[in-house]
Amino acid sequence: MGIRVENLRKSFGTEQVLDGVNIEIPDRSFFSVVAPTGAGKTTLLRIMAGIERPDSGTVYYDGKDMTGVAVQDRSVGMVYQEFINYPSLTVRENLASPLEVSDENYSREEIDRRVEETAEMLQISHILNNLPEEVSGGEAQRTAISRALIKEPDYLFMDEPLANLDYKLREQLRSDFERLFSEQDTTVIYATPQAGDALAMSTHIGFLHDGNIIQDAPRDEIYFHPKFLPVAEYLGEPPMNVLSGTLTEEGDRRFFELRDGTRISVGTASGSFPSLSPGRDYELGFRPQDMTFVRNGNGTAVKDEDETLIHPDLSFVETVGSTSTLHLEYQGKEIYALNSEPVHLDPGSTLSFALDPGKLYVYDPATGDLIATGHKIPSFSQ
Amino acid sequence: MSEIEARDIRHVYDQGTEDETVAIEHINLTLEDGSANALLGPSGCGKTTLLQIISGLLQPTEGQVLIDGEDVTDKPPAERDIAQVFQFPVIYDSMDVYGNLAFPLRNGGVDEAEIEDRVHKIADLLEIEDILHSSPANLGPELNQLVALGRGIIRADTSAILFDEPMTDVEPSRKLTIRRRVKEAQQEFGITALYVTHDQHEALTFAEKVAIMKDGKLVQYDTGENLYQNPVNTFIGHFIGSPGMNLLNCGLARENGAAYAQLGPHSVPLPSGIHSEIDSSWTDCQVGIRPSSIAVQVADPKDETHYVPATVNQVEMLGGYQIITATLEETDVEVKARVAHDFAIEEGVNVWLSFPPADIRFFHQQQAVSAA
Repeated sequence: MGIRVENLRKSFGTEQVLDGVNIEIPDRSFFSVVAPTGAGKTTLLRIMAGIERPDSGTVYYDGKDMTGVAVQDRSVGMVYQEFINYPSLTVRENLASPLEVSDENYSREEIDRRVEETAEMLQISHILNNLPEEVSGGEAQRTAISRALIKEPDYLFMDEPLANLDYKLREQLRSDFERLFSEQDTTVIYATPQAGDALAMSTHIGFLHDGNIIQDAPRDEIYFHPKFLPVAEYLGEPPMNVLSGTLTEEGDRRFFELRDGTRISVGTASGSFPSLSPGRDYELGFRPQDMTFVRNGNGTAVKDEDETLIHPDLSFVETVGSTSTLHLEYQGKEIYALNSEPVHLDPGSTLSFALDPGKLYVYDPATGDLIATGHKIPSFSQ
Repeated sequence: MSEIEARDIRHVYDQGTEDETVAIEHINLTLEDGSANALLGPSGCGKTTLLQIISGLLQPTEGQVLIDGEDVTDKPPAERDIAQVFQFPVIYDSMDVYGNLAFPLRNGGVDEAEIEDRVHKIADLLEIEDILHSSPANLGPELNQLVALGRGIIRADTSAILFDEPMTDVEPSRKLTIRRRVKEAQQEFGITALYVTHDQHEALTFAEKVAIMKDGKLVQYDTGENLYQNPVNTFIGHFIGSPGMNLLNCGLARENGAAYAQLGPHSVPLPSGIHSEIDSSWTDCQVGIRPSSIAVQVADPKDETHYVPATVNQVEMLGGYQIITATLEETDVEVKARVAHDFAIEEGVNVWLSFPPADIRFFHQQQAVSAA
């Protein structure tokens, strides 16, 4: 019951919002469409659901062309950012309403059974007899989701459903969604600008950029092997750091020489990056949590014997709980480092971080394509 | 800049009617001169009510607001010299950014040379020099929010600045930058600031001390580190941290004077400093530990003691790291633990968890038990 989208185009006036989108959404996946606000996520969802018509292109459900089929003739549920519930009906009546107005003549017993089951699944059994205004924001959103799920649709479309919620509720629902949908037959298509939400819940992620899904892949694949710079720089909190450098060679050893002359050792020619050419420029990506903070007694910069260090200036520290996010200034760019211990240092200090060559991402500066990385996609085998 | 004090504040809406509701009560809060503070709490906890009372938009039913020791409870907002930055930036489209920044000074009759000096100083700090002559209508909500902030702090006699959920309209990817400039401006000018938000991340990164409210009461006013390390009750433990502290209902066991939290068949040693504070007859006890404090290993630790076997039933990737949820063997107790973003783990795997005693917190009837 997957969805395939081919060459979808949509423009509003002179603005080409979707410019030949292709996606493959596997059956029963939790597929997130990720992009900044205004990139066309909602339009893409509406077209896939059948609420809006594309200018051209085809939408297949389970291999069948659905492009011209009206939304009411599809097995879809919708959840929006603004939770929509009938204010004068109880939560129970809200849940039952899609079944009661359906052409399928559900029996009273069937309706009651589904209401009870769905309410239990979304943990709102205790508020079934309340009016929507009497329940919390999280419960109202769960009610809206229950209504979308009660007809057991093959496809559930959610457009930023957590955007209006307190962070504790987001955290809870994020965790609940991941559990709930991994046990459901429903294929979920979820739009969000929040990389963190998408990474936490999805089995698959598609990144929308300039009117195209430039990469869609299983979650771990797109996170550990982002094929293009814009994907790499968006899918992470904080985002991946990127520096420009030239590959140089000295005897058998290879280095990335950064713009300030700092050299990062990447091993021998036959080692880490055999496909790269000495003398060429590259963009180097590295995640903030892959930078190892190297400190001497007073926390200042240390001598670099292995040539794996960069020495950025600390501009700002944000500490939340046990984790510090260090805002660093390096070669005129802002980069971030994530440290799993709180850091108490003054802005202005020059610090040292080791970069593990095995965790670098190398991108082509002209095309933004991923050329090489030592990062493996973690896989568990006992 | 000034010290702001809320003393014995109580506020009741619709007093004397059948809709009467107590919004906040027993609020005592002193914001030190020049300090950065946040007011954090779930929706409906009363934080907006308190903010409005401090700014003067609302008169409290009981209690006083003092600025540098002077009672200003009866003074209107304009006489308190408290600047406010709202959820959605209030900007005048008829003027350029320069005009917006200069507006409060021109109203105050400041001469143009000083205005120019002040505008450039603020613009430099907020890194908005390049848009001084742009029209706000052409700028995004982030830049407009910076302009609103600049206007709030431009007057030299501002006693404090209050922020009411200022990041609501800011694009997620821009929040980090905007937050940083706000923070730098606060530090540079030494402005007493109160930042209201329901987002702990914003609160903890902005403020030196955070006041957490729940159900109209102030629960804990403390540094981020203390809120995280030493929550006064289970609510704070859960509320601070993402995910929050694991709070597990437990039994008590004693052996040779030492105290253990009992989770089914598993004994977890409690920190030695609180052994003497614990009464073995207590019921309604909770043991607390942060997900980041739990050590997770996949290999059987064999003879090492105090590793608790568990089965992973959920793995969430949170960008910077992964959170696993695991059920302790022979119990239905679920624990969340943090592991690195590239730690190889999946659902169904057996793991061993260790709970370092120094990082264990203990609660009796949801209240923290601490060393004497």
